[in-house]
Amino acid sequence: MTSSLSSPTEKNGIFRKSLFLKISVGILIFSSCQKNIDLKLSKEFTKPKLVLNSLLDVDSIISVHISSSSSSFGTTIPNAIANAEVNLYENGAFKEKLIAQQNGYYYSALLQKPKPNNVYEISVVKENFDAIDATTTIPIAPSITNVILDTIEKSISFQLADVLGKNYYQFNVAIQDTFKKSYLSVGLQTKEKVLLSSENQDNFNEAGLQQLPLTITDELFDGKTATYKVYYEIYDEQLNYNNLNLVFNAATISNELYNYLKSRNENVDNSGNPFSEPVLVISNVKNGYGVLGGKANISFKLK
Amino acid sequence: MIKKIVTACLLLLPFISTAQITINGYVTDSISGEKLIGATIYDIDNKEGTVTNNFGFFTLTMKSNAANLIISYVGYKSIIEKITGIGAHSVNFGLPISNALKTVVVNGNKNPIQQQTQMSTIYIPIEQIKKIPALFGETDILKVIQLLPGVSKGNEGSSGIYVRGGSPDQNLILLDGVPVYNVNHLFGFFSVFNGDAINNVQLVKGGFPARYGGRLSSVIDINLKEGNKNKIHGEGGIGIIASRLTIEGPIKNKNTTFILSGRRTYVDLLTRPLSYLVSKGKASIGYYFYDFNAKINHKFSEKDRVFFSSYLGKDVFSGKSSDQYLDDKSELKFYLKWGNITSALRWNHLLSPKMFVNTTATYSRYKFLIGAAEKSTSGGTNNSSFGYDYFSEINDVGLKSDFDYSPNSKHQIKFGANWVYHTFTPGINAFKATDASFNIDTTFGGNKKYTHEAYTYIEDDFTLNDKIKINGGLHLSGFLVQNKNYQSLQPRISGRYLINRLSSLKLSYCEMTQYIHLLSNAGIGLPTDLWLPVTKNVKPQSSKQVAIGYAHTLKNDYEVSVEGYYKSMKNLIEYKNGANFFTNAIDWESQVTTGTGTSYGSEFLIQKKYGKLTGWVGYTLSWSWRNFPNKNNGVKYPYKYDRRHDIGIVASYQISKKIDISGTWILATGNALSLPNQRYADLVSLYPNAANYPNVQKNSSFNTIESFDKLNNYRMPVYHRMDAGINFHKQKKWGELVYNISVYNLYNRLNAFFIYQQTNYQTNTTELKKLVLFPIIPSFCVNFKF
Repeated sequence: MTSSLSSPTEKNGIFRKSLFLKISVGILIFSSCQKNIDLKLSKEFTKPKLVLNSLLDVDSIISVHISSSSSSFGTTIPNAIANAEVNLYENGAFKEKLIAQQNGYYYSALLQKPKPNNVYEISVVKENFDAIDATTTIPIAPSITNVILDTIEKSISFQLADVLGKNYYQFNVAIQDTFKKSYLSVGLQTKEKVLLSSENQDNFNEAGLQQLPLTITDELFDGKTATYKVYYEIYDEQLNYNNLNLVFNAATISNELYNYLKSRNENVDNSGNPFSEPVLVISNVKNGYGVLGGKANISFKLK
Repeated sequence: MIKKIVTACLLLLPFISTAQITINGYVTDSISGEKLIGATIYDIDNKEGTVTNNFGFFTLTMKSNAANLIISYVGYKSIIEKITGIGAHSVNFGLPISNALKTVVVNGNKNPIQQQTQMSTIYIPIEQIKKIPALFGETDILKVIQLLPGVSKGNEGSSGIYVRGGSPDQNLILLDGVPVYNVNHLFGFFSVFNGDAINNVQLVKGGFPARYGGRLSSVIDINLKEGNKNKIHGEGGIGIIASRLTIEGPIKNKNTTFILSGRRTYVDLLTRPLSYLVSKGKASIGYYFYDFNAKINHKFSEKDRVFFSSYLGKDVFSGKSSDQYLDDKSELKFYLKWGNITSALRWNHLLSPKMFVNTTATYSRYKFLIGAAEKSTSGGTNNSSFGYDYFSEINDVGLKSDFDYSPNSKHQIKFGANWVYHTFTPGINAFKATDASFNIDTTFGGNKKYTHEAYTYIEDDFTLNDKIKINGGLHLSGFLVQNKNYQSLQPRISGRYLINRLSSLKLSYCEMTQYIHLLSNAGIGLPTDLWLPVTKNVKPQSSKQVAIGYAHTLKNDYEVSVEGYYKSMKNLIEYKNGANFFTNAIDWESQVTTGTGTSYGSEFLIQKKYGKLTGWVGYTLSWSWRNFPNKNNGVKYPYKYDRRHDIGIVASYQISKKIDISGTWILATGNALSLPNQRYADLVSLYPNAANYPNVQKNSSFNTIESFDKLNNYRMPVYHRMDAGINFHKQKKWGELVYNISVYNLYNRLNAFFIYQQTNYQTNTTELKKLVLFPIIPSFCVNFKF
């Protein structure tokens, strides 16, 4: 995280935040005492709910993770649930009962992969919990062409043909270690104004450039075909480039996944900040928590 | 333009009479010459009357050739004066203060509550405010106002005012007619108003007369004293954290008077050496505030008076620390400063026996600065320095004229116009850094906005018949910003129906528009709160309020009122999810979201303004909601200061000439607060490649995120507190000494200032903790008058 922190704006923001918090805390410590509060919590605080998390990717076998929530003020912790009844519906028709495996995951016994444009619903029943269900539509992978890597300025340009209507995209660059068969993290930046539209702005940090991954809407380029450029930053310069592949990933994600990720990022970023309004995480799980999201990915190996 | 309006008014009104008597003049305190605002002038024979305006002036015209006037004011002996002969008479009345220990002989008309057309309005005599026990013995007008029905306090100890579900920026707080933007000293624990310099306080919560505008929820109209006309007089006090002194009197002759009043805390005198000792000479920290009021006025003639008043107040919190290790040295200084300056130059002119005009030029500035500077030396040779300043500011320059016209006793007409030029500076950053390898000196932000705000109004307080009196008016306002012109026509009407001599029904409707917003972070009166204008994208706030009430005067002058109200608000702004002060002020428009609000409730008040026993009992039952499409999943949620129940009891009792006691008790539903209710598995930890890589990866363990199912889903514990005070008066040759002993939070209720979560690693649970600022606090103060 080096280059993005070099701007005076960001340094100032961090310094101001730190200075002000120190002063505030100093004042309060100087003049206050602390006491525990006897909590009288309503049902919404104490009753656990079922949690469904699933990323339906067109390239992967359908899987769902089921767990229970726990009170923010209790002694219990959220646990994976192994013996729930998890049913899968496709375009309104029952498809199959998902099979439980380890650690709260349930898989398609038919080894099904989600299909673009299809609507999937998952319902979960488990005794002592309210039943939950969630629905999502699987998007079509983005139409991306002319992907060009520039290793001098560390950029990737690409042409995106956006389909008319509200679409949500994610872009990322990953380094694939061909020797270890694993992926490494890479920073990604953009200066494209259309990608930094007002709705997308929350996805960027104070310098306005960086977030992993770039998660955006087509608010300012709806239905247009254009070329965009993103810049990558490899954090670990000591890597052995001979063993590395640079992979550019682009994905279309469902509305539900976008809303979840956007609000979830805001929630996590502001956690513990007393000066910030709390953020409600947007969920499409009725009577429960989590998200059922859809995603269609396209990848380009650039080196 | 003004002439045309005057002419139109003259033509429209049926006031021509062949035998009229017009009496005008001022009503003052007979000893000090201080004006009495709201004093009643009532003709016993003709059964007609009026009240003095904000300058103590009145004019009364009747179809008669004589008047038998009774002039009365709360806390003063009434006087009766007979005036004969048609035509105009200029008469000034000086009322003597009544002795509360004697039987109250004054039964004259004191403009009782049931007679007034205006509802939702409360006058509080300043002498009563000064008797009420206060934190550290510092009289605080705003904290007294918090005890009234319809007004909620903010956090523990704060001077924040939340009127009928509105936010603090929706209060128009006027000091001698000039808006004051930040009314907080010491992070809101004290207000900026020094009780010794104040003559009169009035709170309007609804049924706003047309002369007021620019804010949605309330008007707090505070008038400074003008200065003793007869002799040099002084008063002051020495308290635990602050001392104050006020001097007033005539200059040369009684035509010119002045008042000077100052106050300063000395917390820093204690904390600096203390922190220096504790840190073994490495650090010192201090805080102080001061404020200063000055006013001078001169009577050029019976028709012309000029006043100049000014307020200057500042808070400074600062500190420094140093550290040394071998040859490495560093020194850090930080500071947080904020303050207001207001000034008003007023000219009172009597255009005719029936028409009074006040023209005022105003200036108001609020500035906030936070900054730090660090110097370090490494190895004895490498020097580096770092400095940062951030400030925001609002500057107002304005001009207004207000006319009072009384064609006859049935009409009290007010009209006027106001123009203000605002300069908003939401945030300027200055950043300096020097090292052997680099040198940065940059300023950015400073996106100033220059705006014009203007309004004109006309209102008539007219008597329809013996039972019905109506105050109707129109307020037309406009705001020019970024070449965008906003306009708003706001009807205002309130009226009373006299059921009998002692009781009346009241009804009011008003529309209000507000062109400035306050972006607030934590609701604890932080000076970082940003005042911002409406823009092309952020529209003006507006409200509609309807209220119905019943007013009754009981025997022994107890006034009782019951009111119900419903208020709707539009275009309110709040920070978007996750945004706050630390996000850049330059982009504030993109950080806010707009929504609506509704509040409704009922208020009960029984008040006794004079006699041995004075005070009130107030109760409010209310609801206040906010609805923002982008917050709380678009579902309405309770406002942070939504209070279902709010009780305030205030009592002062004069036992003898030498001793008086006072006490207050407050009980209120706890503030609404957002707490996470459940924690659950996060998709991103289960599927870490939720976006990154092709093919879904899955983890066997997961991280959790905290869920807030609803905003403001938790209530802080019920707030209650009792304060008590006793004054011992001792007459001296040179004046009077008053020893004040007061106890804040008498039964040591540990009310929460702030609630937060903390993990207990021994039990592995999350606990809720409250921060308590003020346990029982006794204080002692010596006041004096000479």
